[in-house]
This record gives sequence, C-alpha cells and structure tokens, in this order.
Amino acid sequence: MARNIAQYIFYRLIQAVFSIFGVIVVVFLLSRVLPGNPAIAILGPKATPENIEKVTREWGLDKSYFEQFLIYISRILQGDLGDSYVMGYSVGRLIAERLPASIELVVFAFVLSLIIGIPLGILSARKHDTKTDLILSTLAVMGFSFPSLLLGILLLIFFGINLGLPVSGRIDPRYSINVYTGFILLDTLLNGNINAFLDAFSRIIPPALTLAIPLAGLLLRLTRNSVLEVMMQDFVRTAKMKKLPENIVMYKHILRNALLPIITIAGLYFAVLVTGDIVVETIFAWPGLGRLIWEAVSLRDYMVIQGSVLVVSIIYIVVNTVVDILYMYIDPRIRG
Amino acid sequence: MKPLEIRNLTIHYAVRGKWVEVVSGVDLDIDEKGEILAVVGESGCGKTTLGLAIAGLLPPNAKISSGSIKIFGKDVRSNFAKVAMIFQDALASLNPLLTIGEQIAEVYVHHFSMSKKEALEEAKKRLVEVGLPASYIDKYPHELSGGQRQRVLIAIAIAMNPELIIADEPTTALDVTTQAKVLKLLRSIVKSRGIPMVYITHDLALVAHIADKVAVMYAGQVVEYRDKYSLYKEPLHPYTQALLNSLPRVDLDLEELKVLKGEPPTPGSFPRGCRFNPRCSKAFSKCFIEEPPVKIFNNGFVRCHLYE
Amino acid sequence: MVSSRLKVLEEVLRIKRVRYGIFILLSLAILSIFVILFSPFEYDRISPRVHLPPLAGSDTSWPHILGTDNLGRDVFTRTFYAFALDLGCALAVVILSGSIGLAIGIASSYLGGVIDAVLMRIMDIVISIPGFMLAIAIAAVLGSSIFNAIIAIAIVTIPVYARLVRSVVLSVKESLFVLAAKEAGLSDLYIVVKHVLPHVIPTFITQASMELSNAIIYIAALSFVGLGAQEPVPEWGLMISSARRYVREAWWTAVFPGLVMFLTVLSFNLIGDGLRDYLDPKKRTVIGVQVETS
Repeated sequence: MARNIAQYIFYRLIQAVFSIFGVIVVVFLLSRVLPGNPAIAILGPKATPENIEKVTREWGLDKSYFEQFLIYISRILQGDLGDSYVMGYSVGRLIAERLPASIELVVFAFVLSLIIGIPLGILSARKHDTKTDLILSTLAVMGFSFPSLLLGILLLIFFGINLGLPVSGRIDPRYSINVYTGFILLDTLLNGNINAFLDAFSRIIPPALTLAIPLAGLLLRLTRNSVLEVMMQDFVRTAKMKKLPENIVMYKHILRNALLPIITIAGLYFAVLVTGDIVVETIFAWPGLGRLIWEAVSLRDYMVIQGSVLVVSIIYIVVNTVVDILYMYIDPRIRG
Repeated sequence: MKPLEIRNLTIHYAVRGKWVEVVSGVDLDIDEKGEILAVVGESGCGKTTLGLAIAGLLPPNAKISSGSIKIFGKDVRSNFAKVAMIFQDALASLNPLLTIGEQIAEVYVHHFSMSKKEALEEAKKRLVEVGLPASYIDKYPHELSGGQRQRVLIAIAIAMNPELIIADEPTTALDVTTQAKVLKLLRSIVKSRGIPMVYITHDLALVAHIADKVAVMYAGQVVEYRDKYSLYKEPLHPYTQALLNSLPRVDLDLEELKVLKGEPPTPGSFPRGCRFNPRCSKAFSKCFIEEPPVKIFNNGFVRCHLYE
Repeated sequence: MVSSRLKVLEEVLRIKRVRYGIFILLSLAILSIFVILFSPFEYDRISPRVHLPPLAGSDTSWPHILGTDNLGRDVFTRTFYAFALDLGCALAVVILSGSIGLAIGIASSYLGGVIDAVLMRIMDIVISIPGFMLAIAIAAVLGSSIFNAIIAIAIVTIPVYARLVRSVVLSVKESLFVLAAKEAGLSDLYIVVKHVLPHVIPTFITQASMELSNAIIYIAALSFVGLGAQEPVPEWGLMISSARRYVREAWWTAVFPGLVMFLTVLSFNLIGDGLRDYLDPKKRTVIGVQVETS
C-alpha cells in the first residue's frame, strides 16, 4: 500500500476520479438503453420535429455510441448537464436551486441522529445486559426498521394535525429573507429575524426526525457494540490502573477508540440518508433535490433524473473519499 | 508497617452462574521497602488473580470472599494505597491512539496537578530513566518494539510514585536478550527507589535473577514461601523440587530431565486432601484425605504433610 | 448430516429475537392467507363508500375493519394482499440478486486474475452509486412496472452478495483441505460445492434476511415515487402515495399499510439480527449491519 500520507491521498484521489468516470459511463449507458428514440424520451410532450432535430444535433444522437459518449462527457466536464425540456430550465440550474434545501435537511438530520444515537449507545454499553440495555436495543432495532414512508406519515399527522404546526415547505412564504447562504436556518439568523427562524425550525424538525430516527437506531447499535468491545481491551485496564478520573477513562480512552470505526462507514450513513430523503421530501413538500426527482419521475423527465443521479453519486464519492482521507489523519496506526 | 501484608486471602470467580474458588487462604508478606517477592506457578494457579487483587483491579465477576490485603497498613479496598501494575502484553496495554509521552504524562496531570507541558517534561525524564531516548515522547505504541513498549509500562508505573509495584510476567513475550535487559532495568529501578515489588512469573529460572523472596503457588494456594537462597538450595515442597528438577541444565543430558507429569487441577474440581496429590511422587495416605497444614520455619513456610 | 442441521435450526429457534421475528411474520402471513382466501372484498373492488373510518359497516355482513380508501376499497383487504405481493417481490429480488451475486462472487474469487479484477471493478462502480438512486435510474429507463422494479433493485443489490461471497471464498481458498482436494485431482466444481459453499452459506443467509427487509423498503419506495407497482395493484408504497393527499380526512388509508409494512420489516430485521448474533457472538462485529467496507 502507500507508504506515507501524500502517497495515500494521491492514490485515493485517483481512485475517486476513476469511480466518477465509471459512474458517468454507467449513467450514459443507461440513458442510451431507452427503448425507442432517446430524443423523444428526453423531450417528452415537447417532442416536436424541430425539437427532435435540435436534441439530436446537441447530443449527437445520430452518431456512433462512442462519439455520443465523447459529446456527453465533454459537456459534463464543463458542468453542463443538459436542458430539461419538460420543466423548461437547464438541468444544472434546477439541481443547483434545489440542492441547498436537501443539504440543509440531510445535515440537520445527521446531526440529530448523532445527538440521539451516540449517547444512548454509550448508555446502553455502560449498562449492558441490564433492562436499560434491553429496552434501548429493542428501540434501536425498531427505529432502524421504521420505513421513512410510515414514519413520515406518522410524524406528518402528529406534527401537522395533533400539534397543528405547519409541515410543508421550508418556511412561511410571507417572510422575506435575504439569502446569504442558501440555508434558511442560517439565513434567518443572519437576517436577525427570530420569528422566521422559529418558523423554519419548526418546519425542518418533522422531516429531519423522519430521516434521523432510523439512522439513530443504527448508530445506537454500532456505538453500543463498539464501546463494549473497547471496554474489554487491556489499555482500558491500564487507564484504570493509573487511577485516572472516570470521565477521562471514558472519553479519552474508551470513546476515542470506540467511535473511530464508526466514522469509517460514514458512506453508509450517507446512502441511508439519501434513500430516505426522496420519500421524506415528497411527504413534507420539502423543495429539495429529492422532491425534484419525484417530480421528474412523475413527469417522465429523464434528463433531470439522469442529472440528479449523477450529481448525487459524485457527492457520494466525494464524501467517501474525504472520510477515508480524514480517517488517515485520525488513526496513527495507518499514518505510521 | 509492612509494605505488603496478605492474610488468609480467598478469591472467587463467577463462572456460568456459580462461584469458583481461585485463590485459597493465601498468606504473604513483603517485609521491607525495595524487597522483591516473586510469585511463581504454572498457568491457572491463581497468581495473576492474586496480582490483580493487590492492585485493586479485579474484574466485576470476581470477588474477595475473605481475608485482607494491606499495603503499609492500608486496606486495598479503601483505595488509599498507591499500587502500580505492569502488564504482560504491552501492545494491548497501551492506548494505540495516544503518544507514549501522553500516556506517561497523564499520570502527572491527574495525580500531581501539573500542566500538560510540565507533565511532558517529567515524562521525558522517565523515558530516559527506563533507557529510551527522550525524543520518543511523540511516538505511538505501534512504532516501538516489544521491549521498548515494556519499558514504557515501567515508566508509567514509576511515574505514579507507587508504594508497591506488581509486575505480571512483563518479560514473557520478549526474546531472551531483551528479557534480560528489561529484567535488569526493573530490578535496578526498584532497588534504587526502594519500591517493594511483587514479580509474577512461571519461569523459576528467571526468579533466581530478580527475587529476594519466593512464593510458590499451586492450585490457588501458596505451597512454599522462602527466601531465594534457601529455596534454591533446599527446596522443601515436592512441587518446588519438581519444578527445579525440570529446569534444563548444561551438565545433564536431556533424557535425565525429570518432567513433571500431569496438569494442574481446574478451579472448582480440586482433589480431596492435598491439591498436589495426583502429581506428587512423595504422596502417602494422609495426603489424599486431609489438607496439609502450614509449617513455619524461620525463613518461610511450607504446606505439606511431610513436614508436620 | 441431517441431525446436525436440525440441531442448528433448534439452536437458532431458541434465540429470542428470532422467535419474536418469526412470530410476527407468521401472524401476518396467516392473516394474509386468510384475507386472500376469505375476504368478502376484492382488492380492487371500488365502491361509493369512500373514506369510511375503521370498523365502519359495509354492504356485506363484514365490516371494513380498517376502513376504506379514496376509491371505497377495503383497506384491510388491500393491506394484506400487499403483504403477499411485497413479500413475493422481495423474495424474487433476493433470489435473483442472490443467485447472480453468488455466481459472480464464486467465479471471481475462484478464477482470480483478470476476470476477478474486471468483475470487481464493475461491482465497485455499481456500489459507488447510492442504491436507491441507481434503482430509480434503472426503473425509469425500463418503465414503470413492478416487474421492472424487481429487476432494478436486483441489479443494485448484486454487488453486495458478490463481494460477500468473494471475501468468504478467498479466505477459504488457500486453506489446506481445498489444496488437498486439488492435489487429489478432484474437479473444481466439486471442490466448490462440497468444500467452499458450506462456509459461504451461513453468512449468505444472514445477509439475505437483512436484504429481504431492504428489498421491501425499496419496492415500496419505488412504487411510492411512481416507478413500481401501478394502480390498481395493492402495494404498500403505492397505497401510501395515493393516501398522502387525504391524510387529514382519512389517516387510516396511509397509516395501516405503513404499519403492517413496518412490522414485516421489523420481523425480518429481528430474524437477521438473531442469526448474525448466533453466527459470531464473540467475533468482532462492531458493525451492527452487514456492510461492505473498502
């Protein structure tokens, strides 16, 4: 393997580039597997003869597959994901508009799941083989088994009907906020508008919870197992031998070692979040990428679907790569 | 007050829902500071459990059912005594994510209220004391060799400024040359600082180089307790004699090596009478019926019917 | 041989989690069979009695136990028809992807060399795309039908099995008895079936049980988005999708299908969980789910 950090980073980046290339190939192949004339599929209801000719020229649909691929990849590399004739904008613009909303939701949900899952997992480990542990472990499995379809509906009912809170959209459209970051929670604070912030906050909680609960269940279990395993290791005994204060033993020695393996599968968390995100955004009318995909599916807008898959995959690969490289810095055994 | 006074110590382990006796009625002393007591025995004789008990590190599924351990008059269970322990597997005993400097400095930060900077300076001094370069402060455990890691454990132990050190087979996993170096280091540190030490091992040959007094353990009991010279010159208990006879000697052929046959009994299924009777060449009728009494000499004691 | 297999089964059944999981699953299955055989309502029987609440009367002697949906169809009947459908489809997915994945995994690891490298590269690329996204892309290309959804999900999960099988085979490949068998001149196929497969099967089964619950979720999600089952097929995701608009007036049309789906997924997770604990209770299983790590 690689001998030092720089070499490893380089190697990992090359790997990422190859993966991205592979994804582009796969997405391209899929789009050309469409039965019938791809141009018609792209245009949908707007398939007039002039448009068909235009699209055919744009994407070189009358040329060989290889040439088509070259056109395709050269446009991608320039950031051009094509135009959605069905929705009337360029795909790139549609995605760019919706992406911040999804990122805000997913990040919020992820942080929420960390706050819920990890402390409970630690508690479960400390009290392992007791009633508390059993209850928590059962809750974890149940939480993890909750399909976002059901959980979303339940939370929609609970927050929307029982509590009477607004549950669609990111914020009441009557507020006018200057957009600084594209993340409404931040923007409302930056605008100094507390009411708007509270409104946005109450709207993000239900969808975020829906996403967070299954992930929290997973994290609970992972944390519990990892902490238990680390607790049995000899160096914990050494720490106790040194008569260090209990919280030092817990945080510096046990947790640091226990949480490390959990970071390595951050990619898995991302995949779980993405899967749930589309459903959640649809249920809560959250104007993000997931909802865009849902709209694209119902409109048979293949350009948007294709572009979205590409963008999400690239983000996925980047996240994995970043996590892998970060992990290298954190674990001295790999560094050395 | 004696550095170490163990009286009638009995320890039980919970195995599959039942309590099993692992250490039975042990009496041991260390009389002076800087004295090294070796506890020798085969695997499973209870010596490690004894060591953990003295250090106050018994796992939750073990209990001291009777007896007492006093360090300079303080009961171990009161947690006022400062006992440091050096473990066998140095790699597993060190936190892989912290530098060795940090792991030594921890002791100073939390016990002597030093700042991190001061603590690291002290840690450097300890490293030099155990024969490692001060620059190793920033190294991680996996970057060191086995012998070097063992030295780090020793450094941690002395950093604690302990009243008593327990070393549990610290050199077993090392090659012979490194073994000798670490042993020498340990002995010189303990002697120069006047810290009493309990040295646990299965290697009777090793004991000769390091111990002042020797306690031989078998099946949870101390069967012989003498000063070193008396033990080697005139072993009293048949088990001790068998152990000494089985040490390879340059002047004897391998065929003449008298290997001790059989296995030690598992806790929970001790034989009736003397626990050594299945393997004892000198056993007679009484040994199978009654537990042997302890016969005290002026330089120790032995637990055997032969000396009643 | 038979007795040792029975013994394993006996031990597995003793695990609490497995028992609960099987209990839930069997109860649901029995209900489903009962519904399919005896329900006075067809799953697509439209009636003007729209959005009746649970336990409302019907024009037959039986009440609508879980109410009716926006087309007057009995929710209870549809929910448990959907059980059979979703379960059947999930089974199809697992069998399809499992067998192909098994074949690829064995071929790749056993034959080694270029074949291994190429196959694994392809698997890696498929895995680089988040599963649900790829399933959507494939299903969108193939067309919206439940059959195509099955294919899409199967394609997405093949690499999971392939890698799993491959890692087990690789670890067994170099062991003595395989080499000995080779020396004795036994054919490769024979070696694979008799010596290598028995090691693969336990892990494979555990993974498959967890993938079953995954498959159910994917099928429902694809249908929810519009790419799987189409009306009037009774499928949980589809039912929830249609019911979403009416959540305020008729929450039962969305909640009960989801609830039964949840119980089904839960039961499979419990079983898979229990199986996994049985297989390596002391081994290093930090990861609570079978994951591929790079």
